[in-house]
Amino acid sequence: MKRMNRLGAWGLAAVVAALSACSSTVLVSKDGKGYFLGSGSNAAYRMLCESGDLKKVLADTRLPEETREGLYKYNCSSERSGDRVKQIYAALTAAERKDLRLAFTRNGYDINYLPC
Amino acid sequence: MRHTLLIAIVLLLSSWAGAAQIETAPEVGSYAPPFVLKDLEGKTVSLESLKGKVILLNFWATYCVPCKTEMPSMNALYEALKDKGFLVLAVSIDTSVKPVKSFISGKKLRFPVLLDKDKEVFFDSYAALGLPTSFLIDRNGIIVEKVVGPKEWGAPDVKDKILRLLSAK
Repeated sequence: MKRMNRLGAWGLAAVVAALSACSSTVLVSKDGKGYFLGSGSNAAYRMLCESGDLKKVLADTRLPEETREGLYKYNCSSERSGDRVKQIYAALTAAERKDLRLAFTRNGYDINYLPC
Repeated sequence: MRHTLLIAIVLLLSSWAGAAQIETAPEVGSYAPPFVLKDLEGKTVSLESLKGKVILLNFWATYCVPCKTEMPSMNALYEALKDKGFLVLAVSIDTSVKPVKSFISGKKLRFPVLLDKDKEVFFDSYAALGLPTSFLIDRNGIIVEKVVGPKEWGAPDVKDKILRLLSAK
């Protein structure tokens, strides 16, 4: 089942890759579904926001409050924006990026990378 | 006295700003973040130990078709310039070594290949987002070019640029 989910995630990743450019943000996936952070899609909103998952992930980090608020706002509010998420991501330190990556992993998400 | 104090404060603040720049996502003009990874034989390789060389740091994976497409031209560039101090370091973010070894030996690629299974270097240190992503690093460890997406590494302008970097101090 886990293998099927993983295959599903990569299959989905391939489809998303075909539709996206290299300039996209990080793709997070769980249970065979994957979305770019900051995506405006309703499905991404349901997976990350309505479920409370992103709140849990961010609470599981030691990121500064301002950063956590920004990541939540640009993923889960009417101001959703991939560009703003990318700006925050680029401004993080290496230790903060690691903290974020591990928090996603601990909360059942994979961080995937797509061919350009 | 007040003037000297002011200059000291400005210098201190600018040095803090410089340090912060190194910490965030590396871009052209910033130092390449140091790392230590293992190669396909389990031998440890550090970027620091390669200082003085011109390095093409390439992030890739065996499931990334464009990554594999650009590798033969990267290998040809490496073979042509390695004796002048040029090095290709291909960092794979595959989670297992087997497909990487199989691809590298099948294609007869000669440059060193390192493994970053947990994506610590790719995600944490270099803040890369897509595959392939490459960083061209000069002899002083400074990033002089960031390339997102595949590239034809055999193009004359690419070779010229690397030759210029090799001839610089």
